[in-house]
Amino acid sequence: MVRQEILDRQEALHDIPILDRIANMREALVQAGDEAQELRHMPAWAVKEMVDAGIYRMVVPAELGGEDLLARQQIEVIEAASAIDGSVGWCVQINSEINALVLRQMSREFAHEICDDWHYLVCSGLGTPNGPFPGREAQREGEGWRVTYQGAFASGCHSATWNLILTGETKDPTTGENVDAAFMVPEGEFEIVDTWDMAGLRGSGSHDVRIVGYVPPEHVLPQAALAPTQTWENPTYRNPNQVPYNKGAVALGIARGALDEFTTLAVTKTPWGAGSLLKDLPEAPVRLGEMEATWAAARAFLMETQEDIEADLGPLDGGKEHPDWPLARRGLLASTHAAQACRHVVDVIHNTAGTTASRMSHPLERKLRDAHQAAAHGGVSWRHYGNMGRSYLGEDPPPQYATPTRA
Amino acid sequence: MVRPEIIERQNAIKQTPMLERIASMKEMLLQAGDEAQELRHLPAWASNEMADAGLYRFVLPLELGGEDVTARAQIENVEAASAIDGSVGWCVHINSEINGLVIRRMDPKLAHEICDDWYVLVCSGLGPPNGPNPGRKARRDGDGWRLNYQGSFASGSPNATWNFVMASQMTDEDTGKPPERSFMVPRGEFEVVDTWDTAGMRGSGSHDVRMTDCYVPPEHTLPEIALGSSEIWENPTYRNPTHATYNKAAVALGVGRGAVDSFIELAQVKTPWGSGSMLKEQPQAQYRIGEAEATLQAARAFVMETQEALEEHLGPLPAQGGRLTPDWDHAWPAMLACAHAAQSIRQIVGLINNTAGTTGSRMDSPLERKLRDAHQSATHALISYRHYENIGKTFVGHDPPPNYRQPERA
Repeated sequence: MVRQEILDRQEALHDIPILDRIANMREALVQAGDEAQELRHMPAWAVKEMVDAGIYRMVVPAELGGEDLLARQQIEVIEAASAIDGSVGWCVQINSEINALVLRQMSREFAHEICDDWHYLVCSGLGTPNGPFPGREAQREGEGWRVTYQGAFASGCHSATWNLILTGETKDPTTGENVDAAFMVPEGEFEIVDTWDMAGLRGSGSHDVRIVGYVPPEHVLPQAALAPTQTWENPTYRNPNQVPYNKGAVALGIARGALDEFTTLAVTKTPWGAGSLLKDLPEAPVRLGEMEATWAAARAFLMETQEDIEADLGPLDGGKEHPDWPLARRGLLASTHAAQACRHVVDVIHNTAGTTASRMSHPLERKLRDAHQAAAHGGVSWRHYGNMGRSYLGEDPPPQYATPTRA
Repeated sequence: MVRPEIIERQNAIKQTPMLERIASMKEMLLQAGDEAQELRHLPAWASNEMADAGLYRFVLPLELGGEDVTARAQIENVEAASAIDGSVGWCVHINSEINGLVIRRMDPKLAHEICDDWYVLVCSGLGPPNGPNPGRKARRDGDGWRLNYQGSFASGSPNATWNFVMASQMTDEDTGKPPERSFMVPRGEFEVVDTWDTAGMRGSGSHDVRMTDCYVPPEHTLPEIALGSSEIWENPTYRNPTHATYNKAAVALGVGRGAVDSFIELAQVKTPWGSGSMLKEQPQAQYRIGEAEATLQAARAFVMETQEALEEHLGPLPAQGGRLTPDWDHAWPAMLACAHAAQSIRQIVGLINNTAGTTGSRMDSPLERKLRDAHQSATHALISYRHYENIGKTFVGHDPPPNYRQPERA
C-alpha cells in the first residue's frame, strides 16, 4: 500500500492549485528548457522539482497519492507547461500520461507498490528502434519472461523509474507470434541508447531504451494493458483519447506561448525598412487576430469533445466502458486539429515576427521547431484528417482507434 | 397586455422542442428556399408557417409569448434552419433577433402591444439607401415625429409587421444631430423598395425600406440608444452586445453544416469523371472532409464556449446583482469567435464545393447555393474579415473600436 506519508505529501500540495504551482516554477522551467536543449533531455534537478510539485502525479488516483484530475484540467496543466517550454511540456504530458496508462489494467497491489515511490515516473520506448539493436523478443522463463528489446521515443527516460514495454511490441522466438503480455521494467534494468538528436522537442529525451533481462511475473501486465479500466473511477482511465488529447494540449501550449511572445515583441520591434512598430503594421494585427481565433477555436473544440466523452462514459459503476464512436471520433479529430492548427498558427506568427524569430536566443525560434514536432506525432498527425474523413464518409472506424496503442 | 391566447399558443407549441419543429418542417423549408430564389424573399406562406411554429418568437420573454431561450439554443435553432437553406436561416436569425432587440429599452406597454400579434415580425433597413431616396431625416411634429427615410438590408421586409429605424442612422432636421428617439413604423406605413438582387442570401428579401412623410406617434418611439442593455428583461441576451453578431455566425455555421452533409451524401453516389473510384474512396476527398469537419466543429465550439462564458459573466439583471455590460475581456473573445466562424465556414464551403467537382456548380445542387450563401454571410459587417484586425490590434495595445460596445445594427 502507498504509505501515509505519500498521501500526506500529496494532500499538502493541494493548498496551491496546480496551475499556480506551474506559474510559480516559471523561471525554473525556462532554465530547464534551455539546459535541455544542450542535454537533449530534462536536467535531473528540473525533473525533481516537477516531481516535488506533483506534476507527474496529476492523473494518478487519489488513493495512490495522485490528484485524479479530469481531462480539462490535465490539458490546462500541460498547456501551461508547454507555453513556457515545449520540451518541458512534452515531458509533463507524456510521463503524467504513462504514469496513469500503466495503471489501467494493473493489479491494485502492484499499482500501490510502484506509486509508493514519490519519484514514480514511467517512460515507454515503443517506436521502431534506431541503429543496431538486440531484437524485440520475449520468451517464457519459469513464471516470468526473458526479454530482449529496444524501442524508440522513450521521452523522459533519463529520470524514469520504470519503462513500459507494450503488448504487440515483442515476439516469442519459439512461436513467432506476438507476446500477449506487457512488461514493467524498473530503473537500472533498462539502458538508454542515445538516439534523440532532433530539432523539435529537442529537450524531451525521447531516446531509445534497451532491455536485456528477466521480467518477474509480478511485473507483467495483461495483454490489453491499456484497455479501459474496471478499477479506477476517473473516466480518463476509460477514455481512448487520453493519448491524443495530451499531444493536442502540448501543441496548444506551444502556440499560446508563441502568440504571447509575439505580442511582447510587436510593441517593441520596428522591423527593418518599416516606418512604424510591428504592432502598427496593418497586416500584423490581422494575422494576430486570425491566429488567436484559430488557436482558441481549436482549444474550445478539444475541451468540448473531452467533456462530452467524459459525460458519456459516466461513472465506473453503471457507466460505459467505451464512449460512442461519434464522440470518440470527434475527440480524435479535435486532438489532431489542435496539433495541426497550432502548427499553422506558429508558422504564421513566426513569419510575421520577421528575422527576430529566427535568432537562436528568441523563444519563437524554438517554438517553431516544437510546434512542428508536436504535429508530427503519430497520435495527432495530419493523417487522422483522412482517417476520420473516411469515417464521416461511411467507413467503419479503423480498429486501432478503439484503445490507445502507444503513448 | 399580451392576451392569454398568445401565451397559451406558445405553451402549446413548446411541447415539441424547437429543433424537432424545425426538423419536421424540413421539406417545407426546402421548398420555401427554392421559391425564395425566384422571389428574392421568403414566400408569405412560408413565413406564416415559420411564425406558426414560433421561429420568430423564440428570443422573446415568456410574458410576451416567447420562449426566452439563451444564446446556445438560439444558435442551434438558427443553425438548423440555415443548414436546410441559407436564406431561410437568415430570416429566422434576423427577424427573431430584431424582434428581441427592439424590446430591450422599449416601454413594456408597447412591447406587449406589438407582441400581442402572433405574427409579429420586425425588420430594419439600416444600411445606405440604394438609388433615388428621400434622405434619412426626422423632425418633430407635435408630440410625434415626421420621417423621410430610406435604408437598405431590411431582411424579411416583405413579411414584416413593423420596421425599426434607429436614431443613429438619421439626422434631426432641426439640430443636425441624430434625433432623440428611435422609431417603430408599422406595416402599411413603410414601402419595400426592390433593391435586393444579389447572388448570396438571394432569398432573404433584404431590400430597402422607405418612409415618406411618415408620422410616428410618440407611443411608437423608442429611446435614442434603443439597443443599449436592457434593465427590464432577465434573459442575458438583452444585455449581450454580441447578440446580432453570434446570430450571423450561427447562419454561417448552419450553411457550413449543410454543405458538409450535402457533400457526404454526394460522395456516396458520385464517381468523378475520369476517376476509377467513387468520390468517397478518394484519399484527398477523405482528407478534405476530415479537415473541414474539424474546422467547422472548432469554429462552432469557440462560439458556444464564448457565449456561455459571456452569459455567465453578465449574470442576472443589475438589480439582482448582475452586470449591465460585459467587461471587454469577455466581449472580445465572443466577437472574435463569431468572425472566425463566418470566415472559417467561407473557407470550408469553398473547399467542399471544389472537392465535389462540377456537381457543386450545378444550379440544382445544394452546394451551389451554399457557396453563394457562405460568402454572403461572411461579408456581413459584424463578422467580416476586418474584425481580425480590429481585435488583433487590441492584443498589441490599441484600444478597441468604440462601436464594439453595443449592437449598432442587425
